[in-house]
Amino acid sequence: MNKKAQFAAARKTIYWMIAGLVITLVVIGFAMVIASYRNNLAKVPPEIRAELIALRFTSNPDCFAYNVSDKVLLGTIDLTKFNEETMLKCYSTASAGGIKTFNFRLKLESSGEEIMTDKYAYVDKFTIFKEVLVKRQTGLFKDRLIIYVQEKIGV
Amino acid sequence: MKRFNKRGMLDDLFDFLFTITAAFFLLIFLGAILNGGVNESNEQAVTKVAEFRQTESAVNNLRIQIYQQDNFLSIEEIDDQVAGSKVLAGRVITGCSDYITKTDCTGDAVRIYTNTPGFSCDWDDDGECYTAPSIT
Repeated sequence: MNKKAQFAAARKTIYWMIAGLVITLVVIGFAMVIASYRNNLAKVPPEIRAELIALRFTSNPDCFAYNVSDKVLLGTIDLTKFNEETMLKCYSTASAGGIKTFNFRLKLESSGEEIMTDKYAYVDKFTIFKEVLVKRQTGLFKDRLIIYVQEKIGV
Repeated sequence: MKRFNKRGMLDDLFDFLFTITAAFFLLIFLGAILNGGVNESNEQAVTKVAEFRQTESAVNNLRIQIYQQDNFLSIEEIDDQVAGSKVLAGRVITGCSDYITKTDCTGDAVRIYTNTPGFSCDWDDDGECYTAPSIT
């Protein structure tokens, strides 16, 4: 091997050593982009998750929905059920780690009555508004249900 | 010979830098395209849920109207009123009775009856807004 060939071989070796490092970094970068895409794809926006959970408050007779025998009036809140005890049966979080999931504070705007879930700590992430009917002893009345949503607290 | 080798090395270096730059921008482009699409579909989903909530609130507004006024509406009327409902300060307005202040009521703030000649919103002595046949 002459000097010229030796020099060319050494140059290529150095080139591919650096290029190899960079190619590895690019492959790792590509894997990270794909992983981030996959995570994003599987993520459900918290607004939708909270909305789906909150449907039970006005639709489920075991929560606050007004029912006459087996007929449930969707979107109608029975004021006799609107208390902490029913809330515990309707939605409760785990005693350990319950703070890391959704917690709610429900307020009826006109009457000002308010209840909350067991791990609610007044750290609202967003608010959901629902026009509802409230069943009182004197009849049905229009009101607005304000649902304050607390997402997980801490890491 | 020396000059030739130097030129060759420079050539390699530029090829190398070009590859790095191209790979860098390709990754950024790929990340933006993939994640941008997902973020947009998430935003659309949230918007659709908000639209659904507005419809649900409009239906509840109509239910209380029907209950309080014994006012039966045809399916077409219900569809029209739900489609025509608007949001005022986070509150869904489907008819006059959904206004809670006198100013909004008498001025028909979201123009709920703009396309319905012969009707307007009026404020009564009990502090409630109601639909009245228009004077004009």
